[in-house]
Amino acid sequence: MTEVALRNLCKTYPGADKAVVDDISLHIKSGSLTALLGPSGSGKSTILKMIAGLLFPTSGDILVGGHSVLSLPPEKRDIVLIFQDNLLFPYLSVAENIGFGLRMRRRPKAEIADAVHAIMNLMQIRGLEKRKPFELSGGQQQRVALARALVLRPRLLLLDEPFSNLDASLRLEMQSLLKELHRETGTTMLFVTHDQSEAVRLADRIALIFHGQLRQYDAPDAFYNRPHDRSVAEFFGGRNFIDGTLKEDHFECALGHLKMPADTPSHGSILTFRPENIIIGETSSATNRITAILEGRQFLGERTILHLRCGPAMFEAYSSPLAAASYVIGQPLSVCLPPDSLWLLP
Amino acid sequence: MQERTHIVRSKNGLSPLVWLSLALLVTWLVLPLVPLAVWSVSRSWFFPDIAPSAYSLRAWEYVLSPTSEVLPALGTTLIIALGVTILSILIGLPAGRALGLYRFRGKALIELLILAPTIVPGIAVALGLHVVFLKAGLAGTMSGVLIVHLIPTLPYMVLVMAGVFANYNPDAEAQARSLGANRLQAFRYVTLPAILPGLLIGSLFAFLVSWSQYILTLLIGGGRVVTLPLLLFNFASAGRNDITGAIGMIYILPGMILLVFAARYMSGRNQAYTATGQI
Amino acid sequence: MTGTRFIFRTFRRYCCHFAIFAILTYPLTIHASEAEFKNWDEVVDAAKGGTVNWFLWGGADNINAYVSDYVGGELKKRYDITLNRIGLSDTAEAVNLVLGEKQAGNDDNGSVDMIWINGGNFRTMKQGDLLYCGYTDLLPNNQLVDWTDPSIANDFGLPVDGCEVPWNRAQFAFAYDIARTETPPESIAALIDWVKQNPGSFTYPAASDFNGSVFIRHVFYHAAGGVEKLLGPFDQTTYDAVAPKAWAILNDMKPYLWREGTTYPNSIASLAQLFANQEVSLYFDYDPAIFGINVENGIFPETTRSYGLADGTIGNINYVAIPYNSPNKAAAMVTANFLLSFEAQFEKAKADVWGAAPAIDVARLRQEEQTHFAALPRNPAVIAPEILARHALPELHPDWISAIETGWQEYVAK
Repeated sequence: MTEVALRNLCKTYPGADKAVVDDISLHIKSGSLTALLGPSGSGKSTILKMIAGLLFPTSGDILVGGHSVLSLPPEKRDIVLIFQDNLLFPYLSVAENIGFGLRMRRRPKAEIADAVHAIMNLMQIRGLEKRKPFELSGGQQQRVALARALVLRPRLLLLDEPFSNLDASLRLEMQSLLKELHRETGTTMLFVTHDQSEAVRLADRIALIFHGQLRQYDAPDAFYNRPHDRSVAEFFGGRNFIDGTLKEDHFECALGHLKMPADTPSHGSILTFRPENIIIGETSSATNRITAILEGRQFLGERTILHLRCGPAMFEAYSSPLAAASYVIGQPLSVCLPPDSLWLLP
Repeated sequence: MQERTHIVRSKNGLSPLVWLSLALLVTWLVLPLVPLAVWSVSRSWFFPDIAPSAYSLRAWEYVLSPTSEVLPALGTTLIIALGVTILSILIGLPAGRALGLYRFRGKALIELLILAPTIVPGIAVALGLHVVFLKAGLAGTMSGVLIVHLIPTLPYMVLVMAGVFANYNPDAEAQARSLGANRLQAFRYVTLPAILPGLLIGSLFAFLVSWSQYILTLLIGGGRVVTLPLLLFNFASAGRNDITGAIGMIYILPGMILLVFAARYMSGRNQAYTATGQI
Repeated sequence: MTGTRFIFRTFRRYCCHFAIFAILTYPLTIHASEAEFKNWDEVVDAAKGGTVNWFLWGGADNINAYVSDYVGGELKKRYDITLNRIGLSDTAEAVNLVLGEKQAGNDDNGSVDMIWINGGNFRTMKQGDLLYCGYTDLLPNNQLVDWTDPSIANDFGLPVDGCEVPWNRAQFAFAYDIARTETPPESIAALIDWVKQNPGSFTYPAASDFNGSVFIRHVFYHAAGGVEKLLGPFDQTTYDAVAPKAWAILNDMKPYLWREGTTYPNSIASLAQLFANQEVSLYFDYDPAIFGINVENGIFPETTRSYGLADGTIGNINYVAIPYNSPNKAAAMVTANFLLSFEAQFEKAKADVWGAAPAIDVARLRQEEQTHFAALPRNPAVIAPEILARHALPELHPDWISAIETGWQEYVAK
């Protein structure tokens, strides 16, 4: 069992007056693939380094498998951190790089050779054994870095912005490789990213961190449909925020008298909903149907944003480009806001 | 394109121009040593003769005799230079790392202070230090000379190492630690191969600067620590070209050996990296 | 070749240091003049098993061999004393050491036991109370020294006062190659004419060189019409009267010098090289023994001969002195005494050993010892010291020397 627990973790650098990591408590399930998400400078990498043992927390505790690891040096934690720039050792060949950790553990040579061979098969990088890192493509380097970590079968694998330096297509390829490796090895993985789409695509759960503080720790869809506050919603691309008041199971606002979902929080004055969940045009459902004026539209390729107004309130909705082309600016449109797509923010 | 590459590059991957300049450099370095060698075996050499009129091994006999104390001095010089090099590494490496990796207030001032001993003449430093060394009981001892040699050698070591560490990513060590290397292993397998070229250059500087110290050795050693430059200068200032030549040949020997090794290492850097970082 | 040149050269530079140090250390000064031993036997007993660190100019292999092998061997054999020869390039280095030790309060465990010294370095050490004094009467061989000779009792005009023991006699002489020059000039007046008749055949080292400075002094003596007016402390009026004449002589000579006087050799070694290379026809040195040594070493041709000047050449005695803080005074005294012995002086006088003139009065030796000295074969390149000594000129007070050197830089070199 490699469940990881952060307890009131804090880190303040000497001489700094503000904490980089500010009282973070988190419970990561064994075998999960978790993302630490946040804008750059939010303290995510610092958390990883503290878990890896490369930094010591100012206060708080880190438990791995139920035991505090704070007293262990990095090499004794059985946790591997893969740095952002993959940091292959330039003087060593691919095989030597992958065997590095086992060599440091003074494993027999034959065992190292076997393990390296096996992991290179798994990573589909056979034949590169004798190459030097600078002779590899970006994707190959990434695979070697992953292999070098996974060959150690660590109880926890930490990845710091693993794919941020790759171009878009390679990034997608590596993301699915990581997902696949996670599935095959069952290793508990924790990765840091500033890209919410990467977090959503990969992670079982996302811990969203702003200014060193944990804002929300949830499954990916919750950040779209059930955000904790307006800043979380905005980080995930939320654009529609409308003031109003909650009256029992209805919300009174410029859009009218809207029926709310059953799990609506009992307090809150801001209505939010995703533009992709709005249904434009006639449907069978009559619930939360309103009329809005089309003020403008913005073609984005695979979809078009419609800028809609209802009374004083402005909001956005997505439409297929083909349908959007048939709407006339200045004309009213019938719009449906399904109750389950609505959410209330404090 | 391929044909063109063929023309400018010789088999070894160096262009003829590079070979030519290398040959010139070697000539320029070796040529002045020829008269030195000839002088050391000359009995008499009158102007404008191109060669001595009589040869003799007298200078070599004297230099190799116990009277001259050249061989013990060679040993003393070697021990001091090696000790100074090791101490320079032990102090210069962490200092250079701090200067190269971190930004802190007063860094420019510290860099200037480190450079100061290379600008201020050694005698000025030594005169002031002599009293300090006497009081510390270090004057006239080998350790005293060793310590005082650090004054001119450390700036080179620290500045070379600062330059090396300015282009160094310390995360590589952290990566190694995370992969299971302890501190020593991380240094041995990751830091050392990365800084080795600079470390060798710094050590070479330290060794040669210590090797050629005259005034600091004389003042702090108080004549009791006899190194080759002291003996060399005795005869050079007296115009004894034959003995100066003979001591000179011995004097340049370690420097030449070191330079050859360093040159070989520098040119074959990639192979050497592999050798030092072999897993 | 004597230590004189090296010990004297840095005198002025050194004087400044000394003045500062003297002021700083004045209250700490203690007089180190009282002898600690009642009789010679006590000294020899105390010296047994001791070590002497002798600091001396180390630029001649034959002198080094004489000191290390002969003197060192005899001291070990006779007195069980270990002699440690420490070669210097400049005697002031040893003076600096003692000075530094005194400044640091090291008054009884210094690193220097003996120095080959004279002139400015002696003045510095004596006036700075850096010397052990008053022991000379204890030395049995002191009776061989003629202390009534003012040139022995005074070191460059400063009374010795039992603070050093004579070792060698040196007197300035010229050398030439009989194969190239038939009649060399035998006085300064003749030299002035000779230089004009033989352009490019003569030069002298700059005043910053010890021997160059001595040559310039000979011209100065000539300009003054004799040395008498210049003796004693420095006198500005006399200097002002003599100096312009001396500078005029040297400036007249200038266009006829080697390289038209545009440059001067910066050391006596350079002049030796010029003479060896036959670029100039005359060489000179404070120690005539160097002529023989250079011939022996193949630097000068076999046809080298030497001579003094009819109007005399400058001479001096050089000494050994014991620093006040030497921890091995007894052993150093035994060494100094041995250096004065007939055996040591005679060995030193041998042409194939060193060829240095004795500092002892040969007439005070036993008859057969005198015969040995008389029968001593000498390198034909070296003029007999007794012939040279017939026309000897005294050295000047260091202030005079300093003024002449500065004046030459100012009015001749520019």
